[in-house]
Amino acid sequence: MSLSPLQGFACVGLNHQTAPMDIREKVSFPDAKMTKAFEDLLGLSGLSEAMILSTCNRSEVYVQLTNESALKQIEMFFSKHHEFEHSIIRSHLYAYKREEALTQLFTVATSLDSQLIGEPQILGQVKTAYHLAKKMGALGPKLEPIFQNAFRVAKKIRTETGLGKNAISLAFAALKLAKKVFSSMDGLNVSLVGAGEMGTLFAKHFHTNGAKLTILNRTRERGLALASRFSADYLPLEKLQENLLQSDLVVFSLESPTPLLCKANLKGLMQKRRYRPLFLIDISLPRVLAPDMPHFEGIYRYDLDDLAQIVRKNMDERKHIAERAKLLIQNEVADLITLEKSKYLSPQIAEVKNQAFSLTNQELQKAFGKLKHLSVKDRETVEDMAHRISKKMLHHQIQELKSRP
Amino acid sequence: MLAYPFVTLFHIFFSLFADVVLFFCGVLSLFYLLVNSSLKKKRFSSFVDKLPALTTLEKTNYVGLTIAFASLSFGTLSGSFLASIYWGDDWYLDVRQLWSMITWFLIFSLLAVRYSSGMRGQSLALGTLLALSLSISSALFLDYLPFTKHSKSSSEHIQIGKVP
Repeated sequence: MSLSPLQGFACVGLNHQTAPMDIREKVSFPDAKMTKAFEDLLGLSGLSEAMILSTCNRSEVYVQLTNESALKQIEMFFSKHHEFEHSIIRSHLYAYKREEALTQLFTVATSLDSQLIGEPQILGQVKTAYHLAKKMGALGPKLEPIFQNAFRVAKKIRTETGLGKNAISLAFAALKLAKKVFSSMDGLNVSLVGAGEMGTLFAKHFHTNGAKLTILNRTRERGLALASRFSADYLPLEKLQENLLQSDLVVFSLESPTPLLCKANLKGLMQKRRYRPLFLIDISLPRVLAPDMPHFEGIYRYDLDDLAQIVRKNMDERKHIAERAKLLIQNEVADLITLEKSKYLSPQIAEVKNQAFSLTNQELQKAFGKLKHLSVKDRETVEDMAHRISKKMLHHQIQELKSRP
Repeated sequence: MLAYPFVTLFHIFFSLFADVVLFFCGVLSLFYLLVNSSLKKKRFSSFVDKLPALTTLEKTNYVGLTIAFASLSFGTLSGSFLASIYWGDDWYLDVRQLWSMITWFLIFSLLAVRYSSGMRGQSLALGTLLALSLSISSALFLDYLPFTKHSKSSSEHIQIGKVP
């Protein structure tokens, strides 16, 4: 009897949890060598379909086995294909079969197995790997529905649990906060004070979301270079006070021994700005916004610690969500297994039942030949009894068949 | 038969409409204060996460307040006309009448200051809530005061269809 899709489903690979970066680098499958990888993999005996997933955090092979002993060959494939010592690579590899392999695929696609739980890229990477395998002719009727289910489950869980909704990077947290004040970044006047590396990363996020950037820097050349990178305006740092009148959001990312803005700078500013809200983000160390600055209406001020606290809270929240998502994956896997069992066992069960029915009927005809004195009603009673006994005897065997892994 | 059926209906419609829009503005103002306070305290509940941005709340409130003001103006004008018909020369000395005028003037001031100086945010939200509370108290409590001409127990209470 051939293996059903889930019975033959397996996964072999390594990831950021089982292998260090230098091993992962050597065992990856670059696009240029993918054709050869598929040729080598499909050349192995004992497997019929395959998909290779290679990202910076993992190299995994999902296969449809026709013979379970092929798992060892797939492990060997990792070392042979990469010309790597098998004894070294073996300790980093994991191999999963059936439910475990299915759980692994769903966990990866949902981004629960990523370094940054909930990151959105992995689902796209799994889809790309799936399309490539399809193009290579490595996917067939058994693996294809399994991957379709993985995409469905990943999408469903992300939507239902809100996994990936909250910001887990400082720049993204700042962007989300800004959107809580201004609703949209489109056409918003954002000023970047200082051309520090982190400030540039923030500026990139705001620029990508449609904000109009102005760079203020001490060094003119560096400021102009950064301004040209984001099609932004450049202003010397001395124009900061003047610039505060036009800006909606200001990111401070520069080194300064003394605060750049204090109470006196902001007094009367809001009146001149016609009370438009002003969002100040100070990611400089030491801070350039005086710590004792009072709260002015319409001015929102966040520093590195505030953003880090939001990110930490969101990370904790993601961990809680991930626990819930894992339970949902377990349910999905259990549902799929039940569905497949009923799909694959139904014809067999029907056949057994038919055999039992015809055997019972044969024996009944023999008996009725000897018991001619029975009335029609008595014959019906005997017939009912015989079929009930046959059904009860089969019930136990069918249940045992269904409970088999 | 109504003495001034069109004016009466006009008065009822615009006064009610102003109250409804003002209520909507009050809800927006509460949301604004909630989001503003979360941004200042740097603590966000899941409810605040679902609320719109500050500027969206503020702009919608401003538009709503303008509509409520226009509607209240029509309602108050038509109401004053009816009061002068029913109550004679001292029509404006009624508590409810004065209360409506105060509400109208408060909303007018909020809009005028917003237009001239750009004042918005927390002050506009609090002003809106004050206007809403005046409007609610007028609708719910003033009619029960014995000395208002709108009083349900007053002999001078307007009886639709009966011109003194």
